[in-house]
Amino acid sequence: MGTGVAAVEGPGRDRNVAQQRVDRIHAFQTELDQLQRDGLLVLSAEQQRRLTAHHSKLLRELGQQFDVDTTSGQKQMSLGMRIVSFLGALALAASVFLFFYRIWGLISTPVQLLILICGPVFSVLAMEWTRKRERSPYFTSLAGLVAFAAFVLNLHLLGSIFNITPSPNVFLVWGVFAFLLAYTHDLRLLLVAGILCVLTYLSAWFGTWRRVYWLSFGERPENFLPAGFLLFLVPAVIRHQNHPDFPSYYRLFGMLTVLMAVLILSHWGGGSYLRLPDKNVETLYQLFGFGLAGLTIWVGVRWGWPALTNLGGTFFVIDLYTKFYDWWWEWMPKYLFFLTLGLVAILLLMIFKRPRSELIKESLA
Amino acid sequence: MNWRRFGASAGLVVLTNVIVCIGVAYNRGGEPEAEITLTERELPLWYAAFRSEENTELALHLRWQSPAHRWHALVLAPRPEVDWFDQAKLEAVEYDCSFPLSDPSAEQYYGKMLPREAYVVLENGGLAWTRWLEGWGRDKVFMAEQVDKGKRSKQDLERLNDAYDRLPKTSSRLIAVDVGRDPVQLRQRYPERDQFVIVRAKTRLYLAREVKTSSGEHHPSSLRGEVTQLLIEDIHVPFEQRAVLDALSRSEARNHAPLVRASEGKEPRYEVTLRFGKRHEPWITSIRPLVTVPP
Repeated sequence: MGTGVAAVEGPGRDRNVAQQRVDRIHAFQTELDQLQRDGLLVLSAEQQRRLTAHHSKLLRELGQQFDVDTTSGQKQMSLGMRIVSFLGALALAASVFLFFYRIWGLISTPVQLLILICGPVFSVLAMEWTRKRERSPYFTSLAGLVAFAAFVLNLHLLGSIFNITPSPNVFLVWGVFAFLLAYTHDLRLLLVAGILCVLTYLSAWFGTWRRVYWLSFGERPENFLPAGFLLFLVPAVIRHQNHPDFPSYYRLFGMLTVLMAVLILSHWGGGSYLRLPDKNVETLYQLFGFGLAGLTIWVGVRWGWPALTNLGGTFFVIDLYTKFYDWWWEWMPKYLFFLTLGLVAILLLMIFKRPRSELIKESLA
Repeated sequence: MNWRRFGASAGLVVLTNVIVCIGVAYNRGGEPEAEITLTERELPLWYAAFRSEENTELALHLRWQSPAHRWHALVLAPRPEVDWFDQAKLEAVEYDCSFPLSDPSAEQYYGKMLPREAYVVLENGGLAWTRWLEGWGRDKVFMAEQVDKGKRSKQDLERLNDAYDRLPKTSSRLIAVDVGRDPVQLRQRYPERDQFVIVRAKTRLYLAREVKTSSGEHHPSSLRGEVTQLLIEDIHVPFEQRAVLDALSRSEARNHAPLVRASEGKEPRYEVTLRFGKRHEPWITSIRPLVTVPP
């Protein structure tokens, strides 16, 4: 009998798919136990033995091949290791930065250059080395973040050493490097680093397109809108067959950027390109913000993207509460203000209850 | 080990560094675009007092004088000789100045204008410096009149006199004299490469409101420009050029920071030859002491 391990194989996605399979097996076992206790499904001793043997073998093989967590204890340990890996990467990156700052005045320019190039190259080499020896991604992720930090340091200090005019293109190069590492090693933290770099580059590019000095792009939050939308649409254009969880990061960070920019503009009309009185700009973006948050919730529910639904919900509430603050905080007694907020929350729950019931009905039908 | 995967990431690192180095070689290759000699007045050891074992970098800060500081026209005497960044220059660096100033929303319209990048001409010493000093001289007279009229205190006048007395020894003689989008055109206008340097800078537009002075002069609302920042202001000192500065900064205690030296009216201690390349990016070619360097 085949174990089905082959069904999860494929470059990059192996570990995630294997982990999903393990989670499904545990869910199946729990539900089967319940059905047997309720007397709704009774397996013969032979069937039970074969099923248990099959699952045990499958879990063992998946554990050996992909180093996935096959028990809840292992899962908790993995979470801890992820946190330690991230903190370790931060500490090592800081160490790389501080080490170079401590020595670079004591060495000649060619040696400085050599060290700056070797930093990211050796870190990438370390990634390959750890990946070969370790099936778990923690060490690879740690080495990856150090490689990214070393490359950031490399280009930043190259600019200082040779007195080079600052350019937004550096964010594109950092972004491409982070994406390369993220896609070749299936690392989410580096994907986020890449998304943030490309987001900065695109926003600066839109600013310079409006002939603004690139480092002033942050003075107009509208520069972030096209960049955010473009990132949101990346998964619709590029298929992520080997990295099934990557699209959610693009959608989340893309829409977060857009909603954040709209929220800022709804309170700071002076920061807009629009040639309208500030109050009108703010009203326009308030309406846009509510509409967009609602649309985000709908898109999240419609396509089954829970992170997007939560994001839309959060911004809808933030938009609403900041408006309440503007309208009522000054003149309302504080107890009445918070009472109003509480009542609005209850009202929102009542409103959300209806579509939720309809969704439940649909799923039952 | 996956050599293709490694090659892609490491290749990007090496390729980027090669491209940057080619750019640097292009900037520094051939005849320099400009070469000037500056002193500690223009290139102080700005951050020397804050250096520590944790950061051994040494950089010189390019100090320059910005014309048309907003407060000048309003607080002190008008300085037409340095207040050259007018509407015509703003239009030359592609600011849209077409909105009528008489419109009630002109302030909002122009208040929203964002900074733009442009090429700025800096003159080292020369006529600009002489005019700069003359402007300060007029400020002294103007301030004395204000004190006589009881509008300013005697302490204000004393502070201005102190600052004026220190100027010839401590102030930077690097003064912005022109701005434009095309560095080639600017170089044709200012051909002396040992006196004028062309650098990239951040500029800003502002609306100077109508002013009626106590002497009855009337300055109508106008659009003015301001050079707010040079894109490269901190110039790295290469290891090979550090000896003089290391000796000086070792002997320089925290209370001898550049601002303190300037306030004490101390003479410059070194001079620096600075070259600017094809991309208008500077680099240091030599540093010579002007005083006896401590061992």
